Amino acid sequence: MPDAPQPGAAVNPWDDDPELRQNVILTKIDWVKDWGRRHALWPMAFGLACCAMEMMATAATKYDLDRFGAGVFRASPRQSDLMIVAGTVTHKMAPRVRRLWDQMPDPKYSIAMGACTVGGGPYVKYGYHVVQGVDQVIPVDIYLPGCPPRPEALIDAIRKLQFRILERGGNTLPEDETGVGAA
Amino acid sequence: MADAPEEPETPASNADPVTERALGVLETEHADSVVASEMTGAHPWIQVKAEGLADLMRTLRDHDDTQLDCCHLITGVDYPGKGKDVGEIEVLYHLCSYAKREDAAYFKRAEKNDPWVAIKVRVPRDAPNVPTVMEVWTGADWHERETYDLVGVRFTGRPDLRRILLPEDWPGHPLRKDWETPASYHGIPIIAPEDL
Repeated sequence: MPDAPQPGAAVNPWDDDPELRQNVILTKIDWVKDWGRRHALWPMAFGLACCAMEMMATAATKYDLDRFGAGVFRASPRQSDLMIVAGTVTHKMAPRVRRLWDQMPDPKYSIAMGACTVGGGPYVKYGYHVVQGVDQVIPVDIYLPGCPPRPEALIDAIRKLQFRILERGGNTLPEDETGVGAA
Repeated sequence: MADAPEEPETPASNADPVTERALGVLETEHADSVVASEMTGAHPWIQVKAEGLADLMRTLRDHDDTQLDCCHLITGVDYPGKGKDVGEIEVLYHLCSYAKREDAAYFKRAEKNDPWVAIKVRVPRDAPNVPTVMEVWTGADWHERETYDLVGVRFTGRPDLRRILLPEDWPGHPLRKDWETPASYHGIPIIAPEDL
């Protein structure tokens, strides 16, 4: 039995009803929405160059992106909320990337995967055909350098994006998830 | 058998037998067309005139001595001139033979992963017109379009000469030595190589 409330203290109406307490959770609706977004990132099946190989490896059994709720690659931008730009963005491709991005419903996030999308990569100087960073075309949430980045690095980028989604909603991280890269 | 005397290496000339054979065919059939040739070195070549190129190539394809039935690749090289010299553009055809792949000379070249015969054409830079070889090898279609796209060689006598890799409204031909990076393309700024 709980102690008798002190005079003047707020009385929790559940205290006398253990069953109600077990069946109701009080939280913020924004937190729940962010939680859902965070753990159900649906990337778009979309690869431009060799980085897409690493992206596929990340999604496959050995690295298993499904562990983080981000393994459901959608074949349509209208069903996706994460664009992993995996590979070299050429000037010919840039309008298509932008159009796909515009077709994705909000809220949406993007990861610039690999040196080419971060800033032009090996083509930055003499590659006349390469956009010098995909952030010239679409807004980028996470920059992931590497040529190409290993699957662990992509998982790290997705985890960082998940933390960022939570932080953007004004939430602090749960204590057991503050370590960046912790699974 | 360890003490068996090594076979003395025949001091053969460095001339490449495959290219030499092609040159022999050309000198018999198209003697006026051959401009220059080099038979030694890592990459032997034969330079010919642009006029009547398709006939010459058809000879190389059909002649029993060469049977170069595959147009492996076509590339263009820009040689800008200095002063009043407008310079030249070189179109390079690499040909190989499936029919003669068992031939010893070809086989030796193929072992070096270099089974091609190189035919060169040089045209002035301000009028880079080269006859098409599409009628000889249909596969030359995309190679010619690529060479047009990047170096700006106008292949004459063929249909549908348009860009193959770059966007249709791309300015100029980027593998020309005097091509300059535009400041932006469709609103996407480009930092020039010298500013990086």
